[in-house]
Amino acid sequence: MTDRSGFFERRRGGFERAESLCGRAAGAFAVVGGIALAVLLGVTVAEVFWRYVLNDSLLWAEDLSTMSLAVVAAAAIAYGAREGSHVCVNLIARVAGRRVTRFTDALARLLAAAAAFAAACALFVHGSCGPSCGAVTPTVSISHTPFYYALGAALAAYAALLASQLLLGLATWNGEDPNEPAD
Amino acid sequence: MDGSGIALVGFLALLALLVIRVPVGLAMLIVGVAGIAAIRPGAVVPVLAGEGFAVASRYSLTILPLFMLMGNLAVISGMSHDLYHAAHSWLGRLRGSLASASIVACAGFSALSGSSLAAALTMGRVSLPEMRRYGYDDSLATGAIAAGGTLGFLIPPSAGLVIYGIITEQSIGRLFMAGLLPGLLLTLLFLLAVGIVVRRDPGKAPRAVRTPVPWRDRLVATARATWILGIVVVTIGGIYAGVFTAVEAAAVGALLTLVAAAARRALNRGAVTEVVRATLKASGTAFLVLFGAFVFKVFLGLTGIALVAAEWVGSQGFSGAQAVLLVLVVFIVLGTFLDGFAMLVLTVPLVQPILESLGVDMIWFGVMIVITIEMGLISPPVGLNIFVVKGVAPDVPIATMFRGIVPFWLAMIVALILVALLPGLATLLPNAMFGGGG
Repeated sequence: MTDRSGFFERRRGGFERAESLCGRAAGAFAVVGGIALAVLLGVTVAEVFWRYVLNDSLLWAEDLSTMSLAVVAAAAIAYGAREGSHVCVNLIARVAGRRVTRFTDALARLLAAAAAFAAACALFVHGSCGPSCGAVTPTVSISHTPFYYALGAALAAYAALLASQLLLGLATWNGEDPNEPAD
Repeated sequence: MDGSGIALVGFLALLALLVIRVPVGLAMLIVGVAGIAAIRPGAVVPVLAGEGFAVASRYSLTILPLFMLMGNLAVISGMSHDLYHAAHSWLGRLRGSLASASIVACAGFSALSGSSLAAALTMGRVSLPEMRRYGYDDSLATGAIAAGGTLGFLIPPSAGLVIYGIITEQSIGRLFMAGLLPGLLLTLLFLLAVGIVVRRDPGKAPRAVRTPVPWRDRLVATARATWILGIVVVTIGGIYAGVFTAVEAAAVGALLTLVAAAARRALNRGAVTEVVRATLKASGTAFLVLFGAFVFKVFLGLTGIALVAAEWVGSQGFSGAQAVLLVLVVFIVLGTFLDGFAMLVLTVPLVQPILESLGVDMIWFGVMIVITIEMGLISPPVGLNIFVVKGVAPDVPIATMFRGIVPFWLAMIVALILVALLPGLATLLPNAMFGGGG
C-alpha cells in the first residue's frame, strides 16, 4: 500500500480543495434550505390563518408546502452530510484502531458514495419525465421535475463529498483521518 | 434462494455495513437496492426515485422541520432558563430540588423541542453549573439531566413518534396524544427516583434553598416562563381540542416561538443562521434515515419475510403480550449500541405485520417502543444523551455518569410495566379525542 498511499499523499492538497468545494456547495444548499424553510413556515401559517380566521381555504397551500418540504429535505441531506450529522453506528472504533478502520472507512465511503450517486441518477432519470407522466402536484399542477432534480443534486453533492473524503482518507492512510466519524 | 433467504442475507449485509460505519440511511439504501435488484431488477430505479421523492414531499413530514425550528428558536431565545428557574422556585425547598427542577424543565422544554439531545444539551448548560455550585454529586446531577433529556423523545411533539407514525402509517396526532400521559408519568417517576436517591444518601444533594421562596418570587418566575407555557398550551392543547392538525400545530408553534424570540430580542443574524443550520442538520438526519428505510421496506415487502415471520409466530401460539415482551427485550438490547432512529426504521417494518396479526394496538405499542428507545439513549456503551452531557461536563468520568442514570433507567422499566398493565395511560387521550380504538 506504501506506493499507492504515496500517490494519494502527494495529491492531498487537491483532495482537500475538492472536499472544501463540496462543503461550499453544501453551504449553498443550506442557504436555499433556509429560504425554503421560511416558505414552508409562511405557507403553513397562512393556511391555518385562512382556514380558521377567514373561513376559507388556500387551495395551493398544500402543494406549495410539500414542494418546499422537498427543497428543505434536499438541502438538509446535503448540509447534514457536510456537518457529519448522518448517523452511523460507531462501534468499530471502540474495538479496533486506525489500522483496521482505515480499511473499513475506505470501503464504507466507497459504498456510501456509490449508493448516493445511484440514488441521484435514479432521481434525475425518473424525475425528468415530469408532467407528461402525471408527476405534478394534485391541486395546482406544479411539476415535480425541478424538485426531483433538487433532491438528485443534493444526493450527488453528498456522493461527491463522500468521494473526496474517501480520497482524503487514502491520502492520510498512515496518519489521522480528518473525517473520522464522531462518537 | 427464496424470499426469506434473500431477506436474511439482506439483514446480515445490513449489519456488516453498519459495523463498518456506513451511515444508517445509506446502509439501508444499499441493501434495499441490492435486494430489489436481486428480486425484481426493473423496479430499482422507480423505487429508488419514487420513495426518495415521496419521503421528501410527504405532507405529514412537514412536522419535522417545523418542530425542530421551534425547538431551536426556543434554545436561542433563552426560554429554557426561565423554565428552569420557574421549576426551581416551586421545588426549591425539597432536597434534590435542583435535580428535580432540571427534570421538570426538561419535560417542559421537551414539549417545545421534540428532541432528547436538544433537551439534554440545553438543560445541561443551564442546570449543571447550578447543581455543581451547590455541591451536588456528579452522578446525580449528570444522570438527572441525561434522563430528563430523554423525555423529549416521548412528550409531544416527539420526533420519535413522528418517525414511528410515518413508518407504521398511524395518525401522528393520535400518537402525540398517546405520548402525553406516559410522558408525565415518566416525569413523576424520575422525580421519585431523585427523591429515593437523596433519601438514601442526603449528601448527594445539599439543600440549595433553606427558606421558602416567597410566593411573589414564585409567581414572578412563573410569569417569566409564560411564553413557553403558553406556546405548549396552544400547540399541544390545540391538537387535543381538535383545533389544529399536528402539522398546523407545528407551524403555529414555530411562529409563536419566533415571535417570542423576537420579543426577547434574541433574533440577530448570527442567531437566525444558527437556528437554520441546526434545523437543517437535524432534519437531514431524519430524512436520509427515512429515505433508506422506505427503500428497505419495499425490499422487505418483496421478500415476504414479514408474512413468513407472522405465520411462524402464529404457529408457535405466541400471544400479543408475549410477542411485545420479546420485541421490547430485543429493543432494550439493541438500544445499547444502536441509534434510536435507526432502531425504529430497521425493526418496525419487520415487527409491525407480526404484531398487527396478533391484534396489538399499534398506538399503544408506539409509546412502549419509544420508552424503550429512551432507555437506549442513556444505556452504556453508546447512550447518546450521556455523551451530550459529557460535552457540557467534560471533567466528569463517563463511568460516573452511567452510575448516575441507574435509578432513572429503573424508573423507565417501571413506566414500561405501568403502561403495559394500564394501556389506558397511552390510549385514553387519543380515544377521547379521536374516538374508537383503531
